[in-house]
Amino acid sequence: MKFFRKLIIIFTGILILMSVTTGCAKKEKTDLLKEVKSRGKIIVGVKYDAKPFGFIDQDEKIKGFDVDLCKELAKRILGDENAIEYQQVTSSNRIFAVTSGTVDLIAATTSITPKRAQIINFSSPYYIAGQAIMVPHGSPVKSINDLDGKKIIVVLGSTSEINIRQLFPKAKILGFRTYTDAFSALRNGRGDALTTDDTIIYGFIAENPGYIMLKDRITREPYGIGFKKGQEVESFVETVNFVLQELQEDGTLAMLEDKWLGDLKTVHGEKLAKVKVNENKS
Amino acid sequence: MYNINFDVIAQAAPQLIQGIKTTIFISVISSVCAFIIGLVIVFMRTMGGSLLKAIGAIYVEIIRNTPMLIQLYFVYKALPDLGLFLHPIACGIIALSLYTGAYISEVLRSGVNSVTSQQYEAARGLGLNKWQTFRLIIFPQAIRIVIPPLGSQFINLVKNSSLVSFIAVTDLFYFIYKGAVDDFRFFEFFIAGAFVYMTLTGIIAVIFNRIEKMFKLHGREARV
Repeated sequence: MKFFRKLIIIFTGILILMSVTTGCAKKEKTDLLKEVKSRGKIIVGVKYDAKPFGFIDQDEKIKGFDVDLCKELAKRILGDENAIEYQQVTSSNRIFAVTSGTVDLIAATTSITPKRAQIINFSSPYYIAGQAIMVPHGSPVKSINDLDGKKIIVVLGSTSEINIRQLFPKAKILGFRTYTDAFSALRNGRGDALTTDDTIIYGFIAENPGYIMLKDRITREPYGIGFKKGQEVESFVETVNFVLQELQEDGTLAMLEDKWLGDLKTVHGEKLAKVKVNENKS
Repeated sequence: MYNINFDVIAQAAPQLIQGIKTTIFISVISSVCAFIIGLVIVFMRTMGGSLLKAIGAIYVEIIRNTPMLIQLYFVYKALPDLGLFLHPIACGIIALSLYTGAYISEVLRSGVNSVTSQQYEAARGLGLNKWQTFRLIIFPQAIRIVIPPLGSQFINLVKNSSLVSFIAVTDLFYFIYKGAVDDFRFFEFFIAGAFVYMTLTGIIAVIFNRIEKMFKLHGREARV
């Protein structure tokens, strides 16, 4: 019996520890802005595999455009740019991370789409990307018109996948969970082309010289910060939107864009066309 | 808060059916291959010389002590670097067969070991060679005992086949996951997926119950 008592004590101890460390049971609807302030930090979901937006650098620290953006938010909302807890999200699980409440917001290269806007709240856009195609050097695919009937690699849960399926119904689509998996499939010759946002492709071709990006862009992808839907987050969303407005006006956004994407764009000899923020997406 | 809407399943039905076909295809081929691998290994480990025994044991311990996902990634990602380029479905079938084969060989071995050694000695004494002894004397007695755990292994194989979706094989789980992340309908798709997998494995369970009855010996079943 002594053994069983010990077992029970250890087991309940583990349970208590888990509930304290994960802090999941946040069922009561306290205002998110108040909660963030009393907690003293923002829990953000960022990508760990999408250079240059969110990635693990060689010093094993999380860095990138989205990460710096979150730091700016923390600085202007809580007064401390390090008052952040990072959680990894992927294209497939980021929406769920928000709706389940495990993170306060996601800054994870999330394009604003009407379908997503039904499920989660979006801030105003902070960056406009475009969907592009990456192929190995010397590939027969020279423009997006050559793609029909080819094997195209995508990341599941991204807008790229839905767009490409509508544009090229005959193409064979290979869907992976992460960009790392998707790119290694392209490198192994499992598919003919990889499609995703140009920002992420910039990161890949900067590190892998054997690959090029086609000039054409399939769509415009306005990136927004994602929040849970509901009354309790409204003030938080407004605050974030206000901060984004500020960042836009004082040039911080442009500075961040230059910092993370400036080099990559000049290396490849092209500038991204500036697009109006409120341009309608097809 | 969360409104459940099963219409999304109906919309995705054609894709799901395509996925079910792929899952059944992979499962059936892998089951046959895994059973053959299991037979070969168990023959090596029970009838073979010390070298064959060692090879069989090493194979089983390596395969069953490593995660299947690593084996799958190894076949899919590492073999192309070594010059062997296989279709993703072939990779999935190979990994599943090797993995389940190791478990099946253990199940069969427990059956073979439960046949008394006098049977072996008598068969050898009658002039049967090792293969004949195994095929005609030992195996028919052993298989009867291990039918229930063997069925579990095939059920596990069907469930493990969902892992091939990680290498972009468009099986049932691939479409379930895709539907869930495209429409943000996790609940509906995962419930539907669980139901379909349950149906597939349920069929296997029924088949194995039938086989068990077919091979039943009077006076051998446990009494309540």
